[in-house]
Amino acid sequence: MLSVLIPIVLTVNGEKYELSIGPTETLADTLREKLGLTGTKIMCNEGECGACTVLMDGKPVLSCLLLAVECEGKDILTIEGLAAPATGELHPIQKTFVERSGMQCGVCTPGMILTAKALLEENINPTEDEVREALAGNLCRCGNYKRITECVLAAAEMMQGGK
Amino acid sequence: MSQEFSIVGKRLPRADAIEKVKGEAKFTSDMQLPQMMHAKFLRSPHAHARITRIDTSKAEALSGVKCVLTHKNVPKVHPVPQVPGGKFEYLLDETVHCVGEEVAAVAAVAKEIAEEALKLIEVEYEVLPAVFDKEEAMKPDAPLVYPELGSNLYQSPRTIDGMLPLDWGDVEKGFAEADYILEGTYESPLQHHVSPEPRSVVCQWIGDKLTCWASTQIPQKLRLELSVCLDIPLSSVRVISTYSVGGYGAKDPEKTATLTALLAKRTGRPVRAVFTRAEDFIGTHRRIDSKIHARLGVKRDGAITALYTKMITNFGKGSQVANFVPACSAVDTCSMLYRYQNSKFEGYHVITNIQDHGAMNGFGDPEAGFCIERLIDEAAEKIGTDPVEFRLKNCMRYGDKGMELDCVAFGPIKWGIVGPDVDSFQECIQRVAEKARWKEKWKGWKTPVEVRGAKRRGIGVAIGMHHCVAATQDSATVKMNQDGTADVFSSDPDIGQGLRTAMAQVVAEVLGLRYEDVNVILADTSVTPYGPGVFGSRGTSLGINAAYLAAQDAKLKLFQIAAPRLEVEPEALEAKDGKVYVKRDRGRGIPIAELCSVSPQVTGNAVVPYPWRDERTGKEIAPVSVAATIAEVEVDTETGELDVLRITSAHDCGRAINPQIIENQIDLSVIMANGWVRSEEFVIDKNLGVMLNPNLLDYKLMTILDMPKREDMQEIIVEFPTPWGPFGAKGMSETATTTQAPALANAIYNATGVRIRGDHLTPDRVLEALGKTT
Amino acid sequence: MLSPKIEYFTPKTIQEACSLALQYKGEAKIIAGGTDLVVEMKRKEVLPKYIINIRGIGLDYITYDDRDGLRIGALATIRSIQVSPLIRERFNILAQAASKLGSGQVRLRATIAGNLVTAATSADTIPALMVLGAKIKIMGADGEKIVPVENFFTGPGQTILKSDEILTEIQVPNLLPRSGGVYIKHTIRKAMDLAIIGVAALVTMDGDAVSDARIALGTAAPTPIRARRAEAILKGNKISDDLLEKASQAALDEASPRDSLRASADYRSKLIKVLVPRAIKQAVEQVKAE
Repeated sequence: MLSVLIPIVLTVNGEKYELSIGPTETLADTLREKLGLTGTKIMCNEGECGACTVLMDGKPVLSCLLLAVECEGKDILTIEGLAAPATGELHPIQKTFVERSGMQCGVCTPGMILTAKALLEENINPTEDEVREALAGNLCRCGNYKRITECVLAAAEMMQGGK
Repeated sequence: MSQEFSIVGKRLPRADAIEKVKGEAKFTSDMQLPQMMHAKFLRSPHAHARITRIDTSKAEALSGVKCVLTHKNVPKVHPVPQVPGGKFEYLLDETVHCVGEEVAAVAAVAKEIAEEALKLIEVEYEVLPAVFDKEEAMKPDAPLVYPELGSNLYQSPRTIDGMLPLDWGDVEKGFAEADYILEGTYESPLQHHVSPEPRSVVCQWIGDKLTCWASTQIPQKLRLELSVCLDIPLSSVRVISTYSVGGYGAKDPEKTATLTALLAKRTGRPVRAVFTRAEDFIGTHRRIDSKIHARLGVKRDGAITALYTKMITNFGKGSQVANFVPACSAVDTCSMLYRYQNSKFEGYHVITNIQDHGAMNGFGDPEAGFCIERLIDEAAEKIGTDPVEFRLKNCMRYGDKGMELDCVAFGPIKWGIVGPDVDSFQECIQRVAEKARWKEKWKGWKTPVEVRGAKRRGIGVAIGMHHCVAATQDSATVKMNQDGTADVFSSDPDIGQGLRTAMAQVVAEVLGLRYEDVNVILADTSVTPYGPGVFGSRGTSLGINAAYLAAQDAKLKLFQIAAPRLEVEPEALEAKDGKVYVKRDRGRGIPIAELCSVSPQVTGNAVVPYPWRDERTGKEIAPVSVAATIAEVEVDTETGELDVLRITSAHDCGRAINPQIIENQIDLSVIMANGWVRSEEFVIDKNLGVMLNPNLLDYKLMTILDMPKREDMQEIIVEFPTPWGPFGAKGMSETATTTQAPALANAIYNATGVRIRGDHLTPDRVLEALGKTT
Repeated sequence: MLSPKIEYFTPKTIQEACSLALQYKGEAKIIAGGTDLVVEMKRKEVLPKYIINIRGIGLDYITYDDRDGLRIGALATIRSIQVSPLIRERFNILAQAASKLGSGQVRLRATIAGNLVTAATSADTIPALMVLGAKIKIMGADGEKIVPVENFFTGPGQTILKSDEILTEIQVPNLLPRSGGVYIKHTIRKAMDLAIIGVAALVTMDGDAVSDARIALGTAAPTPIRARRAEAILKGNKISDDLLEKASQAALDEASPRDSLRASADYRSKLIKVLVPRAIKQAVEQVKAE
């Protein structure tokens, strides 16, 4: 009844995982159910909310729309991999989210932070409009958009300061 | 406000921020237990039907399926509603009363297998007549949703032939005294919570004891529900809700939790049930819609003489909250919000074959407010007065009548007053007018702020209110640890509203501890003392209040230990900076850590005393909070598109324990209310009662681009400390929802000269309204 | 997702992809970006036995030369089209249309081929490609053929593509000088939304007059359409409100907007009347501004 399982090696947060995956299993499910990396959240599971965003080779993608088998050979970064590996120091965006209450319920938070990280990697000094454009694909039902924008801009300042 | 606090009032990071930004916070849907199975629910495709045959044999035979439940093999019990009355069906019933009602439950080793199993369950239905529209359901020849009730009108102890009344004074006299009478019928739409985490629950039995991890706002009620339905004592049920993410009134697992518990019991394995997004839309409750006919009498000098409201709402097939929502509309917005002098409310709560209604952010006040505030605007125009001035003149004030909504639903009617903190209302209105530059921008009735080709700009105002207590029992415990840090226990969950954080701040302030040294343990029913949960904006007024009082109790006990050592009476002591010391001799003190290491059993307990009475008059206080909003919009008169340029909103919270969190909550409600009328549409097929858009593409939440930029979203916190709240604080989150929609509608009127009385301000509705006048 | 035995292939060349598509004709689905297909599979609207992932065949180029114009590989992502300096400079309407599709995350994966093959009437890139006079190159068992984009669609969600054929390239001819184009997407909210009505307008100016006008409408008919009668009204004339009113009425007459969950036919009709003139005016302004 089940599909032929495909052996793949997934690189997640710098670590290699050898897995056997059905061809229709999404990256989101693999991360959450097989690897126990539940920091990636599922809010709609149809690519319409951005909550499941992870970074693939540095670019924000919807993990619920990616087949895990497509992701071999790519570098996947989830929220669990964002803090500095050896020290656990939070990324500047994580720091500003903590300081300035960038989250309420916390479901959209990992996706927001990673999408923002990708923005700041490409553009270290974004305008508010550019931040809004970049985050337009991430829904926040708790209505924290203003705060989130402030956190991202504050993180940009922090990162420019060479922190 | 003259007192300086060291922790209360500070913009401290949330107590759970770090685990949330690291992805470490395990939400219910993230939980994995060894040997865990997955539950899925089969749902009725029909709005009203009798199950004539149900055969689960093929599903049970599917490899990986371990248990299937139907009405044939589950106890015939009613789920326990939050408020008595309102839930009419059984756990699993032979008759289903709405599309999406549960018909069967499956547990399997993988969720895909459980989904497959659902397809193999054979069900035959005898389809029965159904009714979906609230006015249709009121007609004498309408099919009865529950024949045994004899009527589709919801009855409660105070209803008369299905009509819920609330009167004050004599409206006929009031109308006779009026110079002008304004009248209109207004509508407000359904809405769904779209809780970011769909409904989820995990159940595990160890021996005879059940642990249920649930994303719920009301853990003690869930515990009771499980106990009653499973026929086990409360002491055998443990409900844990560490993160009940994104409630907004939605999170009440009820029967699916009980079914999951049964699956876990029968299979002997832990079971997790997580709704899909589509399932969450149709398998949970929603906000009521309303159709309100209102009549307002006003005098030339701007005084209101009478208000009559007739409100019709769609109850759906059941509810956790009986008729409390219209009861709230009746007493709050339709009786208390303004000095109406005389008011008369008639409410019809109509049972239909659509899904349950329930608590949702605002609980009757946004619905009533969307009517009343549009009508008030018309009244102000009729008199020719500035709408801000009109509201300043007539808004509720300290000493005006007040009452709680359960009196309206169940009786007895006993009017008290609103407290001195409500004198914040005028300040809210004045500050919002100032910040929004009302005097500069509002150019008078029928005069838009600006016209640029097809685009017209307008500005509008609205005020609102809501209760900030509900279910008035609450208790908390504060346990001192040997090193002088503290653990706080409360049954009220943090749903993202920041309860954990504010509670820690309050306890730290009382005990003189560092914020980091207070650990808050929430919503673990075997551990935390009784508390109803979070709803009705009660978290601050009651939940945090209980923690505040428990901390005071612990502090007193510490003082009683320290006093003899310091050779003073306990009254001579204070606690600050980790020390207990003598007030008039700061040099003499004992570190709290030292006191606790010697006496490690110091525990403070408290039950919140209720009701509160006004010091001056001795009358019972009905605790409420108030708000005012001014919205600026631009309407494209050719396409109907609405650009919301600026929202300025003032909110009274007594005392901002953490201003950052208050601002978060204001933003939440502003955006939720914007979505409610501007883009979210809960579309139900007229003939089949099916929800047609259970996904996030077609049920449209506001995106970041739909809301103004930072500078144009202004939240104003107004602090008039209450006599009864922790440091004078009270709840305000739902009040924030009440003013947004009418402010937008009134702004559209200012821009275009068109009054929209319908339930939505979507581009097509706006264009249609504009078209009617040309 | 549980499914009966599914096989998954990752061909490395177009030929390999085509032969797989031929071999498993009717039971295979081709996946490129996955942003439509994965959703369809989850909703059980589509249950393939074979999935052919063609990302490996390297068709993600964007090239230009003065003679042949623009050549876009089928697997170029919507994002690459949105930001391509080439496209923004010379065929900005396409970059603009690309920028309105879905969300940032979707645009990074979704491909131009996917947008064409899914063939939704609300697709964002299609009206722009229509007014640009684009052509589609298709590779199949019978070899290669080139088809104007307007002839590609046969109905809602349907194209002429046979189950063994693969779309390989989009060709956009050079535009005449003094040409400008605009894509207006009318939505309920400002991001992550489908067009209630989409209007693409491309004009070429000769002095003050419009020497050529092309108009395409999305979500106004079962497939995106060219509004040729509207174009004929404008062609050779100076723009006036009166002329635009006639043209927009002609566009409405050529369209067949319908009632759907997302909007009513009535509202769509009103929008066509308003947005066609707006798009033309904006396109003309664009040319004048150069």
